Amino acid sequence: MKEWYAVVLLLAPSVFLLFSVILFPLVFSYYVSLTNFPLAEFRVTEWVGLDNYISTLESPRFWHSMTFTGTFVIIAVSIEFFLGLGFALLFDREIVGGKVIRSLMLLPMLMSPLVVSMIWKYMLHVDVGIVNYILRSFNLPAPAWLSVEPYAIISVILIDVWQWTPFMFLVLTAGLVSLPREPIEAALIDGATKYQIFRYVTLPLLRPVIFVAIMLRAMDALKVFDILYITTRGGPGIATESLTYYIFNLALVRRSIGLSCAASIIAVFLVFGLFSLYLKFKPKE
Amino acid sequence: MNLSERKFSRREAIGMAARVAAGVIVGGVVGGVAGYYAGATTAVPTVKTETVTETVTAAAQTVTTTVKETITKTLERTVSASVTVPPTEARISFEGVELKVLAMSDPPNIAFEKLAKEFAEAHGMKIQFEMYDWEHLKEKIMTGLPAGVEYDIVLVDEPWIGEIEKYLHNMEELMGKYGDPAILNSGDLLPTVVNALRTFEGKLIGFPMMTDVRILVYRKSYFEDPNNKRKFKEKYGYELKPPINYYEFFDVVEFMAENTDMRYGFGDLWQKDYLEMTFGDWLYSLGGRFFDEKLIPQYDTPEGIIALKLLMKSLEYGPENKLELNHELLNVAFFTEKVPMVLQWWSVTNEMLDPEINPLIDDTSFAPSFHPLECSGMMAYAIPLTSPHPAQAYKLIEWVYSQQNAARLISLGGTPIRASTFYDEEIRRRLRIPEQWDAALLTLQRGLWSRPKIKYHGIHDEIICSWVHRAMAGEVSIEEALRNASEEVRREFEKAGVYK
Repeated sequence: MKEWYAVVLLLAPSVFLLFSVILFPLVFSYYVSLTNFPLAEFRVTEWVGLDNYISTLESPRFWHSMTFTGTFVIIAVSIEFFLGLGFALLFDREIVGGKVIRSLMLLPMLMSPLVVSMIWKYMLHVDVGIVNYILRSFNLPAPAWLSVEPYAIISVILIDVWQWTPFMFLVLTAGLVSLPREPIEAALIDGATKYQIFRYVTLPLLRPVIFVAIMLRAMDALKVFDILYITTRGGPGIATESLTYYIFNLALVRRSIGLSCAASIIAVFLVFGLFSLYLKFKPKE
Repeated sequence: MNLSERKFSRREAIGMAARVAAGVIVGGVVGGVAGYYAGATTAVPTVKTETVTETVTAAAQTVTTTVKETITKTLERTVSASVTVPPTEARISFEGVELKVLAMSDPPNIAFEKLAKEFAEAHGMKIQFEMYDWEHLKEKIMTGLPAGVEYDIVLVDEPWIGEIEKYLHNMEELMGKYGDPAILNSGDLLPTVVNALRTFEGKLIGFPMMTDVRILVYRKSYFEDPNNKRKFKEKYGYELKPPINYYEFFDVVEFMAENTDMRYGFGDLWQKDYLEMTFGDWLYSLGGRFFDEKLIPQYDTPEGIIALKLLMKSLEYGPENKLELNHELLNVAFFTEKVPMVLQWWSVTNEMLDPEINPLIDDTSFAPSFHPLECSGMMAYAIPLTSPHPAQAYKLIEWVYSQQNAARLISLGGTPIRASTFYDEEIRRRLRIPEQWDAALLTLQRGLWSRPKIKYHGIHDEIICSWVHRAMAGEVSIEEALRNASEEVRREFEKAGVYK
């Protein structure tokens, strides 16, 4: 009996933590999603069954936000990956001031997304922004970056790329550093060109790191909110309304907690399904 | 046997872990559900029975020496009026009380903060301010009040009243309990302002802290330029002046955009979050309404469609970034000489009187709004039912907004809430640009419309703003936007039980 208590005592904190921060909110969200829960009432007013799920799935705005989020993740993460890989390869050698440049390159990633968004909001301002100032000095068109489609979509992607390319750079640099030197040296002795070494040796060896980097970034990019909240407010119209922004609107602007929980649960399952597919069909080692 | 010495089989360990997990989960569910219902009970607070410490029994007392010492010279006149402590105040103990205030970080609230701190210091109280911009304040209020966060004073905006009134004291009841008519002089308060803060049932939810209404801010030189005046008269057949109706408005913006060095004619609050008000100005001025008496949405009526068409016509004269214009960016558009006219909240135009912020201060002037009906933007300080110190909170608000402090409040950045303040010659002399006040007063006198004080205001607000912005961005047609908004709000209201 005594041992049993000890096991309980040792396991309880972690189980409790797991329950309170993951399981309980998830189960509670699921329960609320089956009800009407107006924020102003702060209680369940009615049991509505699957109504909130049907409303969400029937809402074109929900599907629009899914499409925007998907587009955002694919474009932003792809650009970040290629730029990150490019920089990682560029700095994977001894160059003057390399360490300083590498440290400076990590700065955007260390800043708060809210601060980054505020800075970019003013840099992209149509009249007082530095981006348009430069464009005008070259007699180029200076558009309203944050309030006209498709510039608004391009802008939020670029802000994300600016902030998170360093993450890709960091992970891929770590991957490159950890690669064994022997296969590369063997390829050099065999007379392989630099491109051939990269294509047939470095890239295959780096594949597990690439996979992890893309997964981590994609999961993070799916939650994009700060940039949109500060810069475009999901506009113009709903052009830059992501899934999280849509859920935020339902929860805190419309103040329909039941509906926002239903949208969140659907989103969780859709994202989970997508990642499962990605894991299933990812290139074999 | 010591646990470390005992060997567990994998199956045994997993089984035991599963039993522990199940036990914790069941316990957690029971605890969670109990906690939830307990939370729900506290979330709908009831009126508290309040204990007040009787420190003085005399009918009227004088302020203590400490108070006299802490009062600055400038305060001498005003505070001397409150030297006589009324019987109600004499029963309230302020010493050691700490008030928690949730407010907005704009000039009128900063004025309130300054006076509130003086009052607190003079009465031996502590006061703690949490200040946010409007959007974050809204989120704090909408989540904090239902959750039972213990604020003593909260700043509430008119459209939130329908949703949060049940968490707030009836101010008239507190007035009856703790108020002193001699200090407050409520008869001098503008009735428009006070009535805007009542629920449908007539409950007064807060004490007015600001009389806000939108006014026209314009570049004086463009209207006084002889060349512009001549050209305008030739083209339109009447004198160039700030517009007072829709016909004049569209003539003036067209003229400014086409005949002056301004590329654009006008700027308004066109960002998505403000469109209930911006669209509502056109809708209500044309005789439309958001809802009928049964709360059926009336967006896609002929008035609604014309209103959105006119709004979008005005949008044609806006700058490139028109769809993102909020208070801040609207001022930037004016300061950077992009537009000669903007429609801005009176409280925000105080910023335009600061030469360090507005480089065009000498060329800035004010006129009443061209909308026949303007959106009422009253904000009020209210006392939540969860406040641990409602009596002290009430006395503080009463003192700050008493007639004796009216002039000081204005000089610190507030807007007048009293009829007498508008006409006070001394105050007007001290103002650099009195036409700002006249513009506001004229707009107030012409008429206001109030955003619907309904329990599900958030649903209507989010949906109408989103669809109108989509129409403005060209994503959908005007008719489609309004029809969809009507259907969506009706559907959501039905689900919420509004029509039961």
